[in-house]
This record gives sequence, structure tokens and C-alpha cells, in this order.
Amino acid sequence: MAITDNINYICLAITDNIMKGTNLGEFEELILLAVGILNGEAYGITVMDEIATHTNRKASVSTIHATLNRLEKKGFIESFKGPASPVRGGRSKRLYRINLAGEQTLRRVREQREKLWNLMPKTSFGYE
Amino acid sequence: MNEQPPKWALWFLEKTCADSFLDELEGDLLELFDRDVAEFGLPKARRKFIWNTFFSLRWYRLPGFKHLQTMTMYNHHLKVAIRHAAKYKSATTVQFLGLLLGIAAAFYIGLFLKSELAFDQMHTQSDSLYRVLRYDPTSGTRGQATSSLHGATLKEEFPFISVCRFGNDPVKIGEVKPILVEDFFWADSTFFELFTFKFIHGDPATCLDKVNSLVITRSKSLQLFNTENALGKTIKVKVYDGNQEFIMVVNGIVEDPPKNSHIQFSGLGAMANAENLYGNLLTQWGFSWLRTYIQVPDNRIAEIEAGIPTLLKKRLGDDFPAQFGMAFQPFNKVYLYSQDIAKSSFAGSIKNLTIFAAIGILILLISLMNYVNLATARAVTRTKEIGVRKVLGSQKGSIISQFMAESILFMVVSGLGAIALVSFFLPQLNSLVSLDLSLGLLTWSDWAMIVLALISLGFMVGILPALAMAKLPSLSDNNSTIQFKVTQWSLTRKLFVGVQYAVTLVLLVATLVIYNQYEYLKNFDKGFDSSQLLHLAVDDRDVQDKLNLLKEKISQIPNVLAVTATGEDLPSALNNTWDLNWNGSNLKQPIPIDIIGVDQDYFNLLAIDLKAGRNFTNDYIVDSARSVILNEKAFSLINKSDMLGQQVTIAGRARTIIGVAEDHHHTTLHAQVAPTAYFIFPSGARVSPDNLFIKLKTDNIPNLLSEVEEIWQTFSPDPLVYNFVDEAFAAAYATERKFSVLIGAFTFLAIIISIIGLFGLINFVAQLKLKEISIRRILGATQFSLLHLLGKDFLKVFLVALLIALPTAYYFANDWLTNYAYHIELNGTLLLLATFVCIGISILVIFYQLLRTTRRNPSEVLASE
Repeated sequence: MAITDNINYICLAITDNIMKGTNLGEFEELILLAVGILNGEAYGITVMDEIATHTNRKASVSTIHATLNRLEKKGFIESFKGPASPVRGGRSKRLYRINLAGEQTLRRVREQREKLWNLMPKTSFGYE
Repeated sequence: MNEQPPKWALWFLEKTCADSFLDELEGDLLELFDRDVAEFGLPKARRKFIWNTFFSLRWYRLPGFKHLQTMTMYNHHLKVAIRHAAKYKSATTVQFLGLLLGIAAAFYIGLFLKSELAFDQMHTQSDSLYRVLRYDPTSGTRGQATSSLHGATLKEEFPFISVCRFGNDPVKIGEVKPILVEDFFWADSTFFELFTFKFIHGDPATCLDKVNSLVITRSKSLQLFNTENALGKTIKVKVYDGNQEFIMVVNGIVEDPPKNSHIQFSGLGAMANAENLYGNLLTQWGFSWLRTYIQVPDNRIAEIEAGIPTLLKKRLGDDFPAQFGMAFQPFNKVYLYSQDIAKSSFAGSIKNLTIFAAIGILILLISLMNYVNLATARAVTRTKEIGVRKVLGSQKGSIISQFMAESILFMVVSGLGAIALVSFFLPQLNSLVSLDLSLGLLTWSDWAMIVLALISLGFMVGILPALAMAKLPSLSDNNSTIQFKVTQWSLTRKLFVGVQYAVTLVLLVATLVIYNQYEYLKNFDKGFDSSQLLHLAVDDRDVQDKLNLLKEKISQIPNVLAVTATGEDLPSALNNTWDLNWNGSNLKQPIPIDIIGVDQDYFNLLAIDLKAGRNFTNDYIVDSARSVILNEKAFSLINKSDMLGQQVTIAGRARTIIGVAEDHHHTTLHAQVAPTAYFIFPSGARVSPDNLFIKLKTDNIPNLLSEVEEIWQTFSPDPLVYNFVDEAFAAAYATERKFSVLIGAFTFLAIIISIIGLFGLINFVAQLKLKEISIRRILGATQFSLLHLLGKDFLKVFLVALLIALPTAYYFANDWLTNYAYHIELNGTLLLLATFVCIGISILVIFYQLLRTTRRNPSEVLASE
């Protein structure tokens, strides 16, 4: 068990990071923005509500959890334990906060978009 | 805080979520729950909570994987398994295909069994329903035709039961262009109380309780009234047999009975009408025309059965005939356990079902053994991998679990593939064997069972290869001894190959026997000439009265050689049986004899020789009903040489024997030729001719048919109903055909699986003996001696399998053949043929493998070391 598994683990952990990369999916981008907006108050339900009110997209709590988990693995957000409350059956919240890498990535994505938008010719479809 | 989510859901959540994620998940879900309670109320909130719990199942937070290292290890195992499978493509394909076909066969057979067992299950009361049978305790014969008194007496004696009787009476329904409805029944008003058929319109409880009440199916309603709701409309119903008419009221519309119900009807009329129609229906025990079903509450059937002798004594007097009895068949057994009951038009067979179940299990078994064999053989390709693992400190347990996981994965993947395969080809399979199977038959619990079965089968087949792998020594040991150990023929491997051979042999013999029997039945000399013989059914009484005229007209058509009128179709079940006795016989009971009404052209047209005496004369008056021609069988029963011209008593009247006709078959070959008496009857009796047989001599059948139809239309408004006797006999063996096709297909599958297994196994043996073979070739070995080298182990196993399989196959084949009064003799040729097919295929496979091996230059093989 011990030695082989450790070797396997190390090798695979390295390949894992290379393979997953640090790209931001479209949904991930929304969640990351929401975490940023909520500024330290972000957890499953608040993020879900934020997404629902601003984008009209219905996502289940578990989908949000999965995405938050992924974002954390990619190193864009950090989580910390919030206070326990009786409302949640005594369970404490896991709160998320955007970190430097996350914010930088968001800015980079936005810059890329704007660059592309500037290249867009004026079409008759637009209202500007 | 009184509102709580379901406890079990919380439990489920805690079991399926790792601790590190539980705070987050459970907390969030509980918070949502509170919000939902406030917004939607408790019930909906609880439902939403359950829903959320199930859809919160995520791979990454399953508790089993909470240690990331274990998770990584599983990932790694999976990866190695896939890479290994990809590296040895042909071996993997062989392993996969074998399993796929085996599981597919078993799945298909399972589907078939499921559909057969689901027969008649639509009735909510089916557990407490019984069919009343006429039962002869002296001979054990049973029949479903009962009299009205059977049901009535039962109800009087045992008031707690409900009784329903119904009798078939073809009718014509409609005013202007009446439609012939064959499956019309006069039924008791309790019909819908006992049986569950889906009502569309009307009241099931009262729809049949008044004279002239009519219930029709949805499709008949559409056909007759052009609407689904014909409730309350009146229509003319003309009884076909009795030439009587009723104006009846539609009191109910039901959904067409499902195909898998043995009770089939498209119209029901109130029993009260039949009572008016047939005067002696209510009073005679002998008027056996009805089918009787009873519903017995509280399992009191034993009480009824015990009371039957007293009941019969009370009703029929002390000296009632010993042949008279009643039996009760549980409703759920009607479909599968009624082979012996005449005129059970729907009859599955529990025997065939058992055979198929056995075949399914056997095929699955050989494909699993195949897998195990190949997987253990493949251990040799993984010696290095396992050696390295062991050197690095892997324990036996972790290696076993690795290979178990691999087997389970393999099993589940090929299982899903098999199900996909079967569902893809289901329409073709259905039309091949005229079945109506669909995946819709399976419930959720069935699917769960299938998945569970696949996983546990994966465990079972995984354990042997896993142990074999785990036993491999670590890298430091000498590699060649490992190879030697793996390639040795272990007892298990011999056993598995032997079982495969034995199963294949048994199935092969079965196929050959069934196919030969089917061909034998089809080509059997029926005792009459059935070529170019056209049959017309004349069901209309009016036309029957003018049958001679019709016969005359048709015989004038060019290319029609002759026409004859008879009371029985060919093949026919021979429904009219009378009593035969004669002066000087020492019989206690008269002999039953089948009665057929014919005319003077019958024997000539069918090329049946008269062994003695004369044919009927043209003059009706002379021979009508008084003269009789017996078949040889009947004549030999009397066993007196000078009986010709003498009188016998048939059905209580004296008749003169004027001739003896050669025996010929009326029924299919399931039964022997029975004693038969031929008469000439005037029209109007039950046994009067109602069929025409037309002997043709033409290649242009359609043309001739249109000429016949032209004449027919001047006689009757009904459509012409015709068929060819040849085809009708062939169709009567449809069950045998279906059976032989199915068994043949499964045997083919079994052979393919065995070939695949053999191929894979030989492949490995050849690879391992590559060096040996190369050295032998350099030293001048012939192909034959190499064949011997590779094949001798298989041959030994084959011989043992032969010793077990052939007697088994012989026993079962003989047992099956006794179902037929006329059957092929089992001889050595069939067994020998099966043996040769098996061994021939084995040699071919081994030889092919040998050619592949010897294509390589021996020096190359040896130089690589």
C-alpha cells in the first residue's frame, strides 16, 4: 500500500494540475464574480440567490458547491469556516472569499472581452 | 423549530457525504429547508429536501473517497486497466465479446420469461380466481367446456363464491353491412366483477344484467358506430348458428383486452339471451358449451374441492358416471399449465419455459467461465506489473482489490453493452420468432436487480483471476517459472473448458433433434394428397343449404379437377365424437369415435384408398346417415373379419358398414390417427358439411381464386375465406418452428462464445509456447505434430466432456420426443454429427492459431531473447 500509493499520488497530483489548467468556464466565471460581489459573505445559498437574481439562472445548491470546490482547487478562491448557527441545525457555514489570483483572472477575462468588443464592427443589430 | 426534514434523508445525506463537506452541504440544505417551509409549507419542503438530498450526490464528496490517496489509487487502477485492455486489443475484444453475447442471450431469455410470466396478471382478483374444468377421474383428462349447471350448482352449494360463465357464439352485428364477430360471448352479468378489463363507458356492475344488453370493445365500437362512445345505441345482432336476431343495446364500452390475456373477446351479450336461445341450456349437464370461472374469497378452495363428491351425488344420484368430475385450476396457471386441455387456444408451456431458462443460465455460465479462463491466462502478461507493485510494497489485498475492480468494471460495461445490443435488435428478434417483447416489461426494481446481478457476477468472476494475480511473486523471482505456472493446465481451467464443450454439445444435439423433428413433421405422409388443395370455409347456414349448387358451380371452372364438401377442415381438431358399439362386443363402455360428414367425392379427391367395400353412392337417400365408412383403425377395433355389410351402433342408431378407408391424418402429428367414421349427412346438422375442398391443376392461382370469388359472391355477402391445406398444416407446426429457430439461435450463440473462448485460450498457449514451437520447427517438426502439441490438452478435456454430454443430451432429447405421437428415432448419426462439428471447429481454430504462429521466422523469435 504505502510506498506505491504515495508515488502514484505524487505523480498524479502533478499531472492533475497540468491537465486541469487554470481556464475559467463560463459558469465558473459567474460564480467567481458572485463570490467577489458577496465579499466574504459567499456560501452555497447566498451565491445561488445572487446568481438567481442577477442572471435568472436556476442552479441547485449542489451545483454551486461543486463549482466552488473546483474554483478553490484552481486557486481562485479561499474558504474559511463561518460561525455555527441554530438555523442550520447547528452546522457552520463554509464561507468563500476571492483571492488575488481570482481577481486577476477575472480582470484578465474582462480585458480580453473588451479587446474583442473593440474589434467588433458596428452592425445594424446593435442599438447603440 | 418543529418542522424537521425526513430523518432517513438526513441519514442518507450523512452516509453519502464525506465529513469534510458535511457542514457545508447539510447546513445549506437545512437552511433551504427552513426557507421552503416558510414559503411552500411542510409537505412540499420535505419533498424538496428529499429531492435535493438525492441530487446532491457528488463523486468528489463520497465518503469512501475522503482520503485523496485512495481516490488517486482507484483512478490509477482504472487507468492501468484501460491501458492494459488497449494494449492487448484482440484479447480484450475476445473477452468482451464473449461476455457481451452471453449476457445478451441471458437478458433476452429473461425478457421472454418475464413476458410469459406476466400473462393474465391484469386482473386485480387473479389470486382468488379459478377456472372450473370438467375432469374425468378415471382417465385424468380435463376440459374447459362446462355446462350451465356446473356454475349454477356451485353457486347454490357454496353461496360465498362468485361465478361467471360465458359461451362463444359467432354473431353478425350491424344492419346493412353486418360484421362477423367470431369472438363474441354470451356472458353472466358477473363478468366484470371477476375480471378486470378497463371500462371506457358504462357501468361494469350492471352492463350485462338485462336481456339484450351488449358490451363491445373500443375497436368494435369504432368499426360499427364510427365513435368511441356508442353507449345507449341499438344494433341488430344475428346469431350465426341459430339464425336468430336480436335488437341489442350497447351498455358498455371496454378497452380491447390486452394481448397477454387468455380471455379474449370483442363483444359480450347478456346470458339471458342465450337462455332464451337454447332451451336446454339451463337444465342439461351434457350441454357443455360454457367456460366457467369462480372467484373464491379467503382461500376457501379446499373446502369446495372436498365438497364436490357430495355435491355430484346429491345432484346426479348415487350412481352418477365415474367419469364425471370437476376440477379447479388456479387462474394464474391457466396460461402455462394447460397443455392437456383441448381447445385452450392460448397455451404457453411451462416445459418450454424451463428449457429456455436452463439455456439462458447455461449460456451465461459458459461466457462467465470463458471470461475467467481468459483473465487468468492474461495474468502472464502482467507479471512485470505485479512484480513491480510487490517490490514497491503492495500487499496481496490491494492487488486483489485492483483486479476485482477490473472484473466488475468489465462486467458492468459488457452488461450495459449487451442490454443496448438487445434493445437495438429487439424489433428484428421479435419478428423472427413472432414475439412481442419490449424493455417496457421491466420495472425499476428489475433494472436494479440487473445492475446488482452484474456487480455480484463481477465479484464472482473476478475472484479467481484476482487470486491468480495476487499469487504471482515479486520481480526478484525467476520469471520463467512464473510463466510455467500460469500456462499449466490447472484443474479449474480444465473444468471450465470441459463444461463449455459439454454445454455446446448438448445444445448442438438439441438443435439437430428439434430441427429434424420439425422437418419430419412437415414432410410426413399425412395419408392423403394435400398438394394444390384449396379450402373454403362455409360458415353461413344459408350457403350450407345450397352447398351442392355451389360445389357444382365451382367444379365447372376450368383447372378445377374436383370439389368435395366435408364437415371438417384439414387440419382439424375433430370436435364431434360419438359412441360406437356393436352386437357381440364385450365392451363395458362404448368406444368414442370421431365423426366426419363427407360426400361421395371425398376419398377420390384426397387420394384415400378404400381398402374394402364401396364408396357412398350419388343417391343421397340410400346412404344418408345410415351407411358408414370406417377408417382402418376403427375397423380393426371391431376385430371381426365379416363385419363389412353388417350393422354397428353409432350414437344409439344402427348403421351399416359399407366400406373401409385407408387411415389418414386429420389433426397434426401431435396425436395418432383416431378411430373415425365417415357419413353423408343432409345439411342442417352439427356434423353437416361446412367446408369445400377444391383440387386444382393450375399455375395461375390468383386468376383461379378470382373466378372462385366471383361465384362465391353470387351465394353470400361474406368475404371469401380460403387457405391452402399444405400451408395450414405447416402453420400448425408454428410452435415447433419458433422453438427450433430459438434453440438454433441460442446454440449458435453458445458455439460462437465457445469459439471465442477457445480462440483466446489457444492464442495465449501459442504465445507462451512460441519459443518451444520455434525450436521444434528448426529441428524439423511437421505442422501436424505441432497441432498435436497445441491441441492435445483440449482433446483430453473434450473427450471427458463428450462422455458426460452425449448421454445427457440423449436422455433429454428422448424425453422431448415422447411429446409427439410420431417422431424421429434418435440414432447415433445426430450425436456423431454434433461431435464432429465441435471437434472440427476446435481443430480449425487451433490450426488457424498455429498458422499465425508459424508465419514468423523461428530465428527471429529466438533472436529476440
